[in-house]
Amino acid sequence: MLGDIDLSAVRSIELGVAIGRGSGLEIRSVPIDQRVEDSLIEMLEATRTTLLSIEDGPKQFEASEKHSGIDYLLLPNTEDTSVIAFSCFSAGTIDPLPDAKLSLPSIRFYFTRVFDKDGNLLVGVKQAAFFKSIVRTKGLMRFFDDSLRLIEGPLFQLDHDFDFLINSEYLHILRPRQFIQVCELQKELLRAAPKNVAEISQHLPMFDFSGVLAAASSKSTIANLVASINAQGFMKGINLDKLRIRCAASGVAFNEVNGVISIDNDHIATFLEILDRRRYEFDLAEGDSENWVAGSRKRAPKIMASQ
Amino acid sequence: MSESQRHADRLEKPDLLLIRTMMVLGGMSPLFLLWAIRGTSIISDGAFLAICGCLIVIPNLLLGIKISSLSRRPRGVPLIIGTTEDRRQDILVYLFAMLLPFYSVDLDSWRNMIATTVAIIFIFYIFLTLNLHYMNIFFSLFRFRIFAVFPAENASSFTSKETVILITRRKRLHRNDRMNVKRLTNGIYVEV
Repeated sequence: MLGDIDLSAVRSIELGVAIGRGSGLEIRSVPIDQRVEDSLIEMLEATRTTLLSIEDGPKQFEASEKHSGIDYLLLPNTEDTSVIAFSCFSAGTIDPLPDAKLSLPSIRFYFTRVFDKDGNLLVGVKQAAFFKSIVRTKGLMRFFDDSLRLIEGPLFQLDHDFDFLINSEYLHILRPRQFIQVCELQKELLRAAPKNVAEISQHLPMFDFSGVLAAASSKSTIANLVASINAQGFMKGINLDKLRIRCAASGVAFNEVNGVISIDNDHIATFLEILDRRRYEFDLAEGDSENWVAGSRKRAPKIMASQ
Repeated sequence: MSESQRHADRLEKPDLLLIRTMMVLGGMSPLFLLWAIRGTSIISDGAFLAICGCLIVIPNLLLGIKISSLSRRPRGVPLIIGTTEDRRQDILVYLFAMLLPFYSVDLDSWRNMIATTVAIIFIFYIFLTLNLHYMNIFFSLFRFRIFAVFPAENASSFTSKETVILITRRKRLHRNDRMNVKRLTNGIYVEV
């Protein structure tokens, strides 16, 4: 797991930067001196310490979940999870940045790759929002003797920690929002929507998923729900009668023709929220029961029947 | 061109340029050594020996200091081996291509001396721009081998498509080995 790598015995280290987006994304290495190497290792150590100190962690990352600023979430390190993260991890030798100073303002994220004495590899990735703003302000000063002097030239600011770490098994996510942006996860989930919908439809053959497929391929929220349902396996073992009752309570309209159920286009999101265990009902007050949608949810411990 | 770009142009990699210049000059050491032995009638032996001596000693000394400082660094950069090609024969080709024509040049007139110097500057520039500055007879004398390392084929799309030069004492390199190397200049690494 995360503690496998020995950060006190790092043998190889490199700093990489990413420029561009989508298919134009390029990864380049930047030569660094020993003090930068030390700082990067400190960042990795700080990230690992923060991750391990988070209570209730680690949890599985879900695309449809509303994430807090800092959390400890896990995803398997595969190409299906994130092409960008997997490629950063599995890249061989990386080309050097031709002109670091010119490229500095267009850097989107930076990362470090370290190998310890046993050959364990750990990658730390950080979104490059902060130092970009510093580069643009041009107002950075430092004390020189007893006077303040303007620091000229492009600057590169290292942060205190990384947004997520990658080892051979998992992506260890500390800042989910930055992870989503760095890995362009929304685009990847839209791209993966047909595969996710196909997986779900295998377990619910009585439903016509053509409307879901069309929506998941174009809308991020639907693509997130579909990815979450598939990742959690929430489509398995569904009781159709119970699903009908829940859908009826949430106002989801079905059309059934020749035994095939199609979902009204306006109710696709609600239907998927039900499958993703985000719709629930409370009946505490007088009058009608209340329907709620959970932006974030976690499974409660199973309640044992009283003897 | 923006102000930051102009500023960046002014500062373009002075350290890399210095080490690359020293490596190219260091590669020409055998020629300077032969010239020092031959001498010339237009410059006194003492002055010519001093010039040639400086051209031999200073670049190789700085290169040696650089490699020595790299060897003391506890950490290197990872280099993943794809296919490799032994480039020792390049030094042989280079020695014959460079030593023999220049050694046979007559340096006993100012005109010939200037023409030869200009030709050397052209060759110097070509070596610098074509990244041929790894050719140095001292690497062979210190039992280093020079390999061209081609990128691993099965790595991710971010993997370099460029060939890099590795200077190492190993006799052979194995495909998909991950080596811990030190960066000498862009594209040239040394294992020390």
